[in-house]
Amino acid sequence: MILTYEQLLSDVKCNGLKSISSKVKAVALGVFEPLDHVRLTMGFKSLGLKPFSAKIQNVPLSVQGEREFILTPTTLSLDDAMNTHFPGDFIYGGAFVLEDLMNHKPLDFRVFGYPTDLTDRQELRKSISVDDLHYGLLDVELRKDLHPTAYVNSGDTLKFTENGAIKNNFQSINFRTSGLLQSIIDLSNHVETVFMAGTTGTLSTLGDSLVRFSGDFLRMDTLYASGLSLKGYGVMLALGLGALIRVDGNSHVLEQIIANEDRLFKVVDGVTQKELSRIPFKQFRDSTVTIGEDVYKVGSLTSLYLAERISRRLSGQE
Amino acid sequence: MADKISKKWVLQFPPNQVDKPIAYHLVKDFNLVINILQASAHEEKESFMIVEVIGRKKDIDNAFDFLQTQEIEVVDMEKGISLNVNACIHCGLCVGLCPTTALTIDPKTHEVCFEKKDCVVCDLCLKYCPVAAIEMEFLK
Repeated sequence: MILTYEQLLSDVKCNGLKSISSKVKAVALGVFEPLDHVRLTMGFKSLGLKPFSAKIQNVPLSVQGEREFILTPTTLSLDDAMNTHFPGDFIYGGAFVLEDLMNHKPLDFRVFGYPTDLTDRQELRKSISVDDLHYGLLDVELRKDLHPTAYVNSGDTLKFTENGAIKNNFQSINFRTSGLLQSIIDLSNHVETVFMAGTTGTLSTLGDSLVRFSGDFLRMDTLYASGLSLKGYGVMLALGLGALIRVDGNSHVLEQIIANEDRLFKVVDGVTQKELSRIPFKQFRDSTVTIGEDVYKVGSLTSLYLAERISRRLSGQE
Repeated sequence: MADKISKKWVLQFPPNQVDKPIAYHLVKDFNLVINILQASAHEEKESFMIVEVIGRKKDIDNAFDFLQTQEIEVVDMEKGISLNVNACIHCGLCVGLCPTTALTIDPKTHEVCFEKKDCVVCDLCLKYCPVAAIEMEFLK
C-alpha cells in the first residue's frame, strides 16, 4: 500500500503505528516551493560560433564550453527599469525564462563569440525556443540541515523578504516550506523515485550537507514549475519535487516521518532577527498561528495543494 | 436594517464628470450609507471610485439609474475582480496579506479560495501575488 503523508498520519491515529507498519510499503511525499540553488545547464543543437557571453530575453547566461550555457532562476534582466527603484517589481528574470521555455515560447537569444579562430568577434541574435536545445539538465541543491523558519515583521512598514511580503506590526506570519522535504532528505537511502516538475529525476548526495535533485528540463511541466515575482526582493523558481519513500514494514522509517509532523518552526522577527517562539509545523496549516495571546494570519510561499497533487500522482491516484 | 442590502460598485467617471458631488447625492437623495473603498481622480483621463453602498433595494436601484444619467459607468465590483485559477499556484501568500477573509485556504483541499463579497479592494494581493493571479479589470 502506498499512502500520501496525510493519509499515513490519519491511519496511524486510527490504527496505531504497529498496525499500519505491516501493510504500508511506501509513503509518497511532495513539495512545491521556491527553491534556491537551482540552475539549468543547456546545450544547443547547433550554434555556429564559439560563445564567450550570452543573454536570453536580456537575462545573462554563463557560458560553459563551446555550446553550453548555465541559467540560474534568480538572475534578473539587465537594465530592467522596473527594478531600479525600491521596492523593485522584479517582473522578469531567469525563472520566467525557464517558464517561457517550458511553454515553447520563442525567446530573444543573443550570443557573442567567434565563428572560427580566424575571424572577428560576432554577435549572433536569433529567436530560439526549447526545441533548439539539445538537452537541458535542471539541478536543485538543498542543504540537509535546513531549519525551517517563519518570519514576522515588527516594523511599521511592509517588509520584503524571500518569503514574500510580510505585513507590518505583527499582522502576519510568513513561512516557506511544506515541511515534508526534510523526510526525503533524512531518508535519502530509501528513495527510489524522484519526481521533478512532471518528469523523473535522480537524487544524489553531495558530501554530508547537500543533496542534489537532477531532472530532464525538456520534459518538465509548467503545472509544477512556476516563475515567481517577489516585489522588493527578486525572482525565484517554485518547483514541484516528490519522492516515493520505501517503508516495507520498517516502523523505524515510519517513526521518523511522523516525527516530522512535530517539527518546530523557529519564528523570527524579520526586523530585529530575534527568535520569538517555536511553533509546531502543523499549526501553520491553519489560517492563523497563536503565539502567547497574539493571533497571526498565515501567509506562505509553499503550495500544499500542489504538493499533495504530487503525492497523489506518485501514489498512483492521479 | 433587516431590509437593507449591500452592493459594491466601481464607478468610472469620464474626465468631465470628476468634479460632480456624486457621494453627496447618493447619501442625501437616495438615503444610502456609502463607504469609499478606493478612489482615483484625474482631470485628464478616466477616474474611478470603488464604493460599498448600503440601503434599501429600491433606493439602490434608483441610485443606479441616477448614476447612469450622469454618464457614470457603474460596474458590479464582483464582476470586475477575479482569481485566475489557471495562474494561481495556491501558495497562500495573499492569505496573510488580505485584511479581510476574502482570501482563505480551504482546510481540506488547501486551495486558495476567493470570496468576492468580502473583498475591500485594498489591492495588496494584486501588488504582491508572485504569479499575478488576482485580476482587477478596473485597475488596469
